[in-house]
Amino acid sequence: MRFISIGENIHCTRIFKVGGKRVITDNNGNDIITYHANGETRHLPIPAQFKDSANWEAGKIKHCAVAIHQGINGSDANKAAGVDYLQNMARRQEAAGACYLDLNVDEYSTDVDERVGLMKWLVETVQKASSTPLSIDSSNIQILRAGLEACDRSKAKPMINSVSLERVNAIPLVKEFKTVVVASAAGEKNLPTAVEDKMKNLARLMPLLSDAGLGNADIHIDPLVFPIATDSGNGMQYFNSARAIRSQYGADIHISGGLSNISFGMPKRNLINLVFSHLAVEAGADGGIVDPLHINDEALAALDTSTESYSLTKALLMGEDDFGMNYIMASREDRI
Amino acid sequence: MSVLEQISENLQKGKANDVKVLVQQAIDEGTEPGSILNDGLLAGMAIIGAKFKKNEVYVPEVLVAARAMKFGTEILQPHLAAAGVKPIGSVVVGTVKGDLHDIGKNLVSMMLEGAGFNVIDIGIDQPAENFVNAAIENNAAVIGASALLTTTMTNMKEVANAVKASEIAGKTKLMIGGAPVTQAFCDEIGADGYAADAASAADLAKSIIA
Repeated sequence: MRFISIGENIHCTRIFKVGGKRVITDNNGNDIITYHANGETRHLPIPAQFKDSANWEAGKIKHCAVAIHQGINGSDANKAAGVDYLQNMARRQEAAGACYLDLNVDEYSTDVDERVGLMKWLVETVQKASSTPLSIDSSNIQILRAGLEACDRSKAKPMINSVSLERVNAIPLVKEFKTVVVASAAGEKNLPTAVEDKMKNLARLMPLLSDAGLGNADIHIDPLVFPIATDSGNGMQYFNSARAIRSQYGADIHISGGLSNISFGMPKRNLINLVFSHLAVEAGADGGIVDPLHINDEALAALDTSTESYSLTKALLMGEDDFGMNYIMASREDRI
Repeated sequence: MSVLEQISENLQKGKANDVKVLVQQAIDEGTEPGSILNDGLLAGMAIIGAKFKKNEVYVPEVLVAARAMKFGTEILQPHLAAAGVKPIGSVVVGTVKGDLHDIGKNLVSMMLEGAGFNVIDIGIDQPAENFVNAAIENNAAVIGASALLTTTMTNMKEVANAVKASEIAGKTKLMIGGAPVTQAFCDEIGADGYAADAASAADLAKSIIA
């Protein structure tokens, strides 16, 4: 079975630490983001307005937002750098086995018209470098539409991320653009954690999706993933939901979700994400919205389940490590 | 180590039962309830909050410390009331209309309680008037509004406008936060402050009522 990884990396919220490995000051005193492409180190200059912000002061820089800004507004050289940065991210995710590339510009600004333009530009830019189908990700219908209109739909169906009972107005886009969807278990008035509440929401959502012409094989269910850091039961809630969905909707439906949410607020997130993805697959999931550079078929196949790292992380995710204290301690002591 | 230092130390380690025993011991020894609160429990939470801000401790460690604080304050509460010690103020917190996210809001509530505030959590998906009504009812010093989506963040402007149009205008301060929120947005809608994370929110609440 192939793990359907929906590459989450081209997302305007993504942050690098200022002063970390990726964000440095060059010999001329310019702040730059460094990246590797074709075996060489390349640079993306950080424009002034990104440094006049609370984020920068807090030591954070939204690197995809910088690349998009440069790609659209920069000088010719900076335009090329912004485009290259994003296309390189697309190629790397594709090479790692991503099945979809998720694109999200929601947090670039509060101006909807601006973001509509950005999404169109981003889709066109990424498509020039990669033939991997795109997942258009937004909580705004106009932005979803702009992304879908720009998608090359001649080879594969693009994905909408996401539709749900709280976002039924996105469902007509499925038919109009012949897409597949991420369908979330969110309700109109809640983001349920309990399995039965999720199943109730899905029972009402699924007929709307089949009315829109979707078969089960076109639906990637997001059972909702909540951080293990805030509730030790959140891992089991996901596993139990995945099992319930598989048994209710059969073999063809895809079970996915924002798997990397699980590790919010915890140390060594890549380790938690990998073990969680492995356990999710055991529970019936067959994909996830993840960083495909870390979560892919090879990494999942190579996961060594005989190590202390694995058993401590599994205990954390199964709700057997109250408040994650054993896991955090092991991380502090560099045992995992 | 004094009993108050022990309370702070054990609270930071999340040892709820030990905190409970130590608070009782401090009460029995005749320590002022206000001092047990400020120099024991809140002092410990302040250290955890500062470490959390610097990424030196993780979310679950803040949760266990907050639980220990709760165990301690339950024992202490009647003594605080008898001694006439009041919270430093009340804060109404909630997630704005159309937005169903509560994890960030809950972390903020916890850090506010850890800073000595009385917190009234009105929940998710709350229209602007509910923030204002709860603030009036509880004589709140601060309203904290949360939003996790760019599509719902704009509803914070309605909260700001509702505050301005009400009897609490100029008295109750509005602070906002959540992933898409920025200082620029805060300035644009005329809120009194923006906090980037839960620990900063507690610091902000203290500074805007000072």
